[in-house]
Amino acid sequence: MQRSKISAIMEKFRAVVDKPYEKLKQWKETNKKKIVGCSPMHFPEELIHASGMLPVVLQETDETITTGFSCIYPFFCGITRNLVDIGVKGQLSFLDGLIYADICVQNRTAASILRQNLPAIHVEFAQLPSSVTRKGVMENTVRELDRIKASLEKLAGRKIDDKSLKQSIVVYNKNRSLLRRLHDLRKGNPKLLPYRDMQVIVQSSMLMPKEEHTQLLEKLLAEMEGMKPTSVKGSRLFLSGHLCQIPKADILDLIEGVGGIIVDDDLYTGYRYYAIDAELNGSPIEALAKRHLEKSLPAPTRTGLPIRWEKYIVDRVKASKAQGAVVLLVKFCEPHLFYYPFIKDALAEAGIPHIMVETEHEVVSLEGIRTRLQAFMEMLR
Amino acid sequence: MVPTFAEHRVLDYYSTLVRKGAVTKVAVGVDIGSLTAKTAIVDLNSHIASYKIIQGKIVDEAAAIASLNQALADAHLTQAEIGFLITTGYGRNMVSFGDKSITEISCHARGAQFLFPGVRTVIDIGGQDSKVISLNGEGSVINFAMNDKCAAGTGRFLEVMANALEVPIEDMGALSLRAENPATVSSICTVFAESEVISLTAQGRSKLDIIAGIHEAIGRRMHSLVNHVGMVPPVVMSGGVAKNVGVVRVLEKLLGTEIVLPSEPQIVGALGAALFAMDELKSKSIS
Repeated sequence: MQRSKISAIMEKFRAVVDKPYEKLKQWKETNKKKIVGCSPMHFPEELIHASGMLPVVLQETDETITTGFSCIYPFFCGITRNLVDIGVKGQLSFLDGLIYADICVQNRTAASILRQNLPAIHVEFAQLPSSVTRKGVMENTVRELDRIKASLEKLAGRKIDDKSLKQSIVVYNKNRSLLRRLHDLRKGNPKLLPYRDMQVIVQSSMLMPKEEHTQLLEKLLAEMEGMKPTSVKGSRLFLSGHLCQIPKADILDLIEGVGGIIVDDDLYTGYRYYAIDAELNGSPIEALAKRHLEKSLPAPTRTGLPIRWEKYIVDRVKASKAQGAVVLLVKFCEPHLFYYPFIKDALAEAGIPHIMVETEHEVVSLEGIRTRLQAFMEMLR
Repeated sequence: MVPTFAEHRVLDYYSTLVRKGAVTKVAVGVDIGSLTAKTAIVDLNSHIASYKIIQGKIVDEAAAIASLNQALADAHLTQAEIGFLITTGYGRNMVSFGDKSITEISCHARGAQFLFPGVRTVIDIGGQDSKVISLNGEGSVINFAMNDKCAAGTGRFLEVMANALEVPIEDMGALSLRAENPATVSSICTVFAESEVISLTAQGRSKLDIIAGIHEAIGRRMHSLVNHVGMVPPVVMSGGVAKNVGVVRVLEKLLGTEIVLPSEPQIVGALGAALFAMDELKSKSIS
């Protein structure tokens, strides 16, 4: 009975994630509300939420890149090329606004291509600082968020006051805290749901109205929190990597299919998305700036954080009692590629075995990956 | 003195035991590769009872069964004597038989450790996969790297080149040793390399030089893969390409170390699988 209730809730999450842009188009027609897309990783969705519009975090689809080939370099990462491609094909035309936040050079290029090709959509580029320690960085971040806020107010046709922004932060904090609860619950009982489903839950949180997602999540937790942990055979793994991009579900299934148990992660569509809340005291825009700067998790798109990414990964692997780590690296993701040698060395130094799986937008050789993953599990035993 | 594979073969001894009824169960490893199927059989004392290599189609279950049956027949055994059977290789999960499957990475490491105890690096170049396996000296895999993008630098690469040059694949190794000025051939893509070979032929380059260039391309490719895991001698080479002396020499030169070769390099994965099957068999009999 409990399992069937869980399945029913999961189906609702899955329905959102499956062909997300088509669903959002339908949602807009039904709800007569504006939708603003934002690039993954850094932009605070709360700002869009407070304007009364629906914020959605853009996600990669598996569509073959065709028209977009003429707009963007083939040596750019999958999500960058994919979003440009589906954008120029008109599949993002349901968006009223599109906000790119600075994370890498490729992302900047995509923003300008889409601005040029989608004249009907209000495209913004948020220049959020990558250095968190530079002098005056807090003021700069607040100024930039204020600028975007004014732009969103114009698009929404209404003011975003501190009260509504604070309320949005409450809504987002609530959703994040529930996701953390689920994360912790699953960490203690990985059999609770496959990691693929955990991904579905996080990805759907980025696409559907937060309040609705929170309601579903509360129901799911109510069912799951009473369940007894099931014993599980296999090797405990920490999953690291994929920043902007959602991991390929086939690869997640392969990991779990060959006996890996993903107990913890630092993926953007994972722990990174819900790890940190924004503060509720003081100015809400400053709270969002602070979340972006001082409280952000180590990432290769930031500099000056108190702990380096590779050290953070080692600490998290140890804390999760994982026997090894799987690093998912998106082909042509320059920030991650820059850090990977450090990550590789840090894991080796800590005596943590790891395997790196490079993924790309185009189909990858799953059988080869299966062999590598299975051999990695055999090595861990 | 490191025992060679041939010295492990104890067919006569084995068939005598079978005839006397002294053998009850054996452990079997079947390596279903992309181009060949291999079976190795070991007894409870870890003696190799027999082995068989059959050339088949791509992931060919019929070839796998044929290699199994012929290996059983060679050792005067029947399927009834199989105590545990482990499949490995590219087709390990695609055949309808077997008690368990283990990757070729673990199996090549196990097989190489059995034949050459203390081995630290295994280079396996099979039909469509090439891998470098790092061992801790006691038989445990500590790292590995595998070609994950294309078949350049594999047995299939050599087959395509042999066809393009109209040279029997088994002659390529010896021919390349007679080259005077090896040609430069791409190590990135089999299809592009084939075009290069055709162009070089049209330019009048000798077959010997082109073959030597092909071997150097494989060597460069594998050298890069070896660097992923770091090379520690002794180095053992397994897989069908280890039978190509030209590739072995190029690799030895690039790596700056001698490469130890089993007398039958194609069987190392199946042997490893059989030894894992033996572990299972023993643990079953204990429990």
